[in-house]
Amino acid sequence: MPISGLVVTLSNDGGEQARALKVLDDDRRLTLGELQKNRLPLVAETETIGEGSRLLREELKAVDGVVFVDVVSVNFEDVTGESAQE
Amino acid sequence: MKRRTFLKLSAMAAATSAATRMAYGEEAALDRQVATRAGDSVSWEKAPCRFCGVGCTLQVGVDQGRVVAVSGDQKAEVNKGLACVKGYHVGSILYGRDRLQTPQKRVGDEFVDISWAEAIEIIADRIEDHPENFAFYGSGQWTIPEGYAVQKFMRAGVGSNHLDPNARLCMASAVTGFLSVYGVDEPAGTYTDLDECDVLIMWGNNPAEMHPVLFSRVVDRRSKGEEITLIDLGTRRSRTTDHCQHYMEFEPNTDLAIANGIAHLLLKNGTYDEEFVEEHCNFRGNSDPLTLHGEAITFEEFRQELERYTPEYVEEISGVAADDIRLLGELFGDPDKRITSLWCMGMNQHTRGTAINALVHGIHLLSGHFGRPGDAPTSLTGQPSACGTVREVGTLAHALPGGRLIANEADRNACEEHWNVPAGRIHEQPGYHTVQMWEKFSTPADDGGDIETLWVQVTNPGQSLPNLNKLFYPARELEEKFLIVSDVYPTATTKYADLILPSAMWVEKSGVVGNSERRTQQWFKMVEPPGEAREDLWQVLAVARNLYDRGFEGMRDKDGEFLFTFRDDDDQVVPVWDYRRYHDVNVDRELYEEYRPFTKYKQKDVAPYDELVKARGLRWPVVQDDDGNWRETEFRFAGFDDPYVEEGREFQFYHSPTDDDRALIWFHPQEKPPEEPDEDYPLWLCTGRVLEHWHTGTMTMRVPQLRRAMPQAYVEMHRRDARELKIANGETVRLETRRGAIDLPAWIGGRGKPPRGTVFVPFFDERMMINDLTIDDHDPHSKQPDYKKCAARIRKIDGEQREQ
Amino acid sequence: MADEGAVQTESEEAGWFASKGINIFLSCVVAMAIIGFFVGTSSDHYDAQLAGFGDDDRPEQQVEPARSYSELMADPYQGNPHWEEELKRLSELRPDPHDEVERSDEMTNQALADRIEHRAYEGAPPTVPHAVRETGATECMACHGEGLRVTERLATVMSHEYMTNCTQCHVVEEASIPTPDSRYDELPLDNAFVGLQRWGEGDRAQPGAPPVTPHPVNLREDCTSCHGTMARPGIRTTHPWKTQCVQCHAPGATLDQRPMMEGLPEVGSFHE
Repeated sequence: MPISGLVVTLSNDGGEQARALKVLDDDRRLTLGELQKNRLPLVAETETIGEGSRLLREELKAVDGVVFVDVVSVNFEDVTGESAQE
Repeated sequence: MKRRTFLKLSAMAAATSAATRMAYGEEAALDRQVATRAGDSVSWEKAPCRFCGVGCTLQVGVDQGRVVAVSGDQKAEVNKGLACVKGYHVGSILYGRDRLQTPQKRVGDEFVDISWAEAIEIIADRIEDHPENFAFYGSGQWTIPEGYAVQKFMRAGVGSNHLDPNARLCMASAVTGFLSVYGVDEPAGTYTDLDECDVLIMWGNNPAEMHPVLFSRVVDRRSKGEEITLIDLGTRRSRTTDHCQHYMEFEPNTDLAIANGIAHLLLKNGTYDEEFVEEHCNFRGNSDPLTLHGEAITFEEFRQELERYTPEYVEEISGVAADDIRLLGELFGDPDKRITSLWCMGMNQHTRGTAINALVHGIHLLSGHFGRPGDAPTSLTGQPSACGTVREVGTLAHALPGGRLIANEADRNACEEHWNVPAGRIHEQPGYHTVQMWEKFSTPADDGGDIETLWVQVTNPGQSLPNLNKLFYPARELEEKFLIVSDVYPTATTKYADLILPSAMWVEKSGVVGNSERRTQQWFKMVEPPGEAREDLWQVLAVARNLYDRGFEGMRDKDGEFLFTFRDDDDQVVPVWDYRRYHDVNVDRELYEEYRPFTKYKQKDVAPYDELVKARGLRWPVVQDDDGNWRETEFRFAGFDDPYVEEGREFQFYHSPTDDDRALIWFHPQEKPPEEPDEDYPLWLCTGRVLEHWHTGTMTMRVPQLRRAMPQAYVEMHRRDARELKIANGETVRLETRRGAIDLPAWIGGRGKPPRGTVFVPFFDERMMINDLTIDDHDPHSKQPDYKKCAARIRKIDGEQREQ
Repeated sequence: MADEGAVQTESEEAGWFASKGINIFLSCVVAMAIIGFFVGTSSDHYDAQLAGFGDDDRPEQQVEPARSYSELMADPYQGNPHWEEELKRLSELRPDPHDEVERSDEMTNQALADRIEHRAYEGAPPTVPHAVRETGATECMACHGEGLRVTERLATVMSHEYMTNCTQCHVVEEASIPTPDSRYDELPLDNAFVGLQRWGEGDRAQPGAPPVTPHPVNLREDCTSCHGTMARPGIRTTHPWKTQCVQCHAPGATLDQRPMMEGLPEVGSFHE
């Protein structure tokens, strides 16, 4: 399963930020770190590379209150043969 | 630990470290024990560029106490991440190896090192003996706290009004232009107009070289697909011309005829803005004798005066084709076009500087091209704080802070009260303006030359004054005259000084400056000055304290307290005059906050210091909203933006010279210049600047990249003029006027292309002093000399002895 | 077509030599043309007799006589097909993205040393190592628009969006003013400024992870300018076929001022 370290830049609007945090927290693929001002470090763990790529490129950006997504690290080390084929 | 958990943890660690750095910057990240790496040791802080009046904000990279890199600040509205070649290399100006590092005294023909204590003592002696014969010559490169301290030091302390800045040579005519039209100084528009205009007219202006960041802000709109018409009204082809759709070349000194020609067409075609003029303008003509306020004329008289300025007549005078004049008339007559005019030295260094400034404002008012985004007459400045320190703080011979005048008793009293000094402390007689000041300094005391001690800070008059043979060199022959110069490098001025004080510069000190669009910017000290170099501001405070300790009456206020008393958080006086204690309190903040109330008088409210710390500058008037936020102003006098315009009014010129909220549209006739080419001196000589060098080159000539790109001065001439004189490209020739001669190489087909009969020489090179040749004739109101026009001739040298 | 067939019938080796020879020759021609284009009429050796005089001022014998209209009718000016063909080939002489890229510390050091020769510090606008005319961006774009490598000379792709006043930031290393004067050297030019020489390596989360970008990206938005296939070996990317650089290489510079989207505080309310 691929593991990526991300930094999500959240909106500075308090309400929007709280809602975004809720959505991200509810996503069981994500482990949230400690919010630094409006930058949220998190780790994403997905079944397949394809899913990971969709999550990074589309799903996270679509969350209201998420302004920008920076990818800090990606690890495919224990991607199994099956999931790697996607 | 499972492998998988380890991977997750390390991913989180990396993400957290990145998030911290992004959120708090490097310093905080380091606190959080993030691993360091090479290049990371550089810390970045904002500072405005040291050079021109555009006021770009830079990010300055400092490593181990030295500036190592510079980047345009992307958060700055002025430059949006860009800089020009001078700005990118500004870090190098700190590190020329011949930086002045110790105070020096002239002994015979030599300079000997002395201590700061001795230097301060010498100055205090000179002032104590004859305060009335002491003058201060300052600069538009002074920071606001520096200028304000000298303002108070001179008016309240020394009791002399002989304080004038080098900005007299650079934007005084813009000031008198604004005053005569709006009753208050400084542009109504801002750089935002450059993002909005459809037409940009540059009046004798070469922003591609002199204000490149602003020029790019306009021309790069074109590469993004916008349509903008650029018009260069000039006397010489420059890099700016290459970017313009229209180049209209006029005979030097005929710009007044062109402006009148445009006004003529607006009236004749009926395309002036009747409603705007009716509601917001009065008409004005010259009085006899000339005054800045002139006398009222009717619209009908105005029309009659303009009658003869037909396109054909203007063509005859100026050489600009009648059709081009008509084109300008049509553009101004089109209410749908947004038109911005830019000018700088071409209009200001002009014996009719005030007049041409007023006329350009006039055609904008007459045509209603005013006060909407993109519609603005905007004057540019050449020094980082010509606006902030000279115009706002009022370090001029006739001015007091915040737009107050020495001649006005109420204004003097207001200052005396704010400074807590006895009424009558400020002398009622304005001091000498620049040309007078140096003339008096260069005249023997017995012949009425009553300026005997002159302190120069942050400027280089030995190179930048006009007609040096009259205004500068003679003083050096006179025993009784004493010249004190604070500077950072040896210059053409320090060469003649009696006392040299080494100064700190740019990010070696903190500062606050004001740019051309009313924007006030602040920065903090980042590195140490070299050797014993110290802040100009400290130098002034130290002399003030020395005088106070001697019992010099002026340096104490009504309560007997020292004029410059600063207290720390525990209400203890900080002895800032002792350099070891100078940085124990933020002197900049103290002085700036003391000055700030002055700015409310003419609704020029500058922002609080602590707000400036957070911002990339704020444009005054800066007022506090109901919710406590500080709000800047982009369009002055326009109801939709200016907080001081009464509710419901579209425009209000609330400082109107006629006290009826109206601006003045002036008529000024075209007239002959004081000196024109003739049989003996058949060429026009124009002087100016180049992209790579800033003013007298003290700083930029010590930057390798800039020096290599532009190593020396030259005389630009037209190919045919050169051929007639049998002069080849690069040949050293002798350039002469009635005042002096210098030798320099001819450059034909070079960067600028003067028309036949005109030559151009830049003034940055101290080895080729073009100001030995220029005239000191000046505008009657602004007292600003005309460096742009005098009569000259060129000769081949053919092995004769060279002039030095 | 007949000509082409004829060439093909010759031995392969001769053909190779022929085309290589043409290539070399044309490379030289193009190189000369390009250099000439920039250098214009300026010359290292100052010639007082000639310098400064335009075409109309040259002594008569040096002027190529103009052709008459009848001559033009008989033999009109026209483009040179081989020339155009070769110019196109020249721009096609670019490395294949899938070529293996060699990297070593030594090469990296060399690349950084080369860079600093034309810069006051890492991040300064590079100075221009060739003469330029005093005008416009079009000429600069001819080579720096797409990038060009002619023998050992490399014209890098512009690293930032198109801006027209090139000389605003990029100044020449050797002035074009004719300076016969010895006074040129009288002023001291001894500057102790030491610029930032290298940004260092970007952080990696763990061995094998993509490094973050260690330098600011302002005015360096086009990564290929320095890291692309045309770039100096040593700092060239090993995987040029991947073009979404920032997807994996997060900005990690201490000076990160990328403009943020809406919802962030106004400029002016940041505290830094």
